[in-house]
Amino acid sequence: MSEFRKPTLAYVGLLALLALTVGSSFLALGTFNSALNLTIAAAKAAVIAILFMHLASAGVLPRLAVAAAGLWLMILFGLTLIGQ
Amino acid sequence: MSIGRLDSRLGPAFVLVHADQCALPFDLDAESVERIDHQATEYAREFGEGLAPVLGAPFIYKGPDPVHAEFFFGLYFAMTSLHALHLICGVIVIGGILALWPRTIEASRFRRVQAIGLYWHFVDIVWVFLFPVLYLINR
Repeated sequence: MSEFRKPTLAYVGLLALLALTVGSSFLALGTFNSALNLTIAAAKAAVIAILFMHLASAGVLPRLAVAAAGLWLMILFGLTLIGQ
Repeated sequence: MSIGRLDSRLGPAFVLVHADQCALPFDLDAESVERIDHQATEYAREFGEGLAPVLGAPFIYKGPDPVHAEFFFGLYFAMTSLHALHLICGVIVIGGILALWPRTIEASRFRRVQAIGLYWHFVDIVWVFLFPVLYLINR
């Protein structure tokens, strides 16, 4: 049973974050809405990567590779959106 | 972007349907097929309402700021259709793994499920970002 515990907790956590992000979209916060949504999305991505994709039990090399890829993605998306 | 009028069409029903975005790796097939099926229904409605500026279809939008609305719907169709392509590829590979399952040795089963699981969660993470950007904007 314990092997289902972590994925179930992650699932419940993701649903809670989903409720949070949908709930926050009903509040009028201006540009802060988008920032909040993206922050919550980043938290959800972290939960998925660490628990569902087994980064928690992975060695140093896979974590480094994911961190490097994430950094590059942030640079590329950041440079794309910088002109908005 | 002034796309406030989209809200009534992209209603909260989608939130419930897409709550399956964090599916556990055990019940992939039914849920993902349902998601693709649902997306097809959504596309059909937008084409019917003239909100699909793709494949030469006319874009008819009577709300404020039609230029930005067209920009939004162009991005929306590009992003969701690429995502659907990823989903369809995943479903095909999962189907292949299931079809070959009886003839696969234990170690290969583990390796294949691990690999498709990683791919599936990559697609999942893409949706985690697409959902707020496309459906929760300007609610």
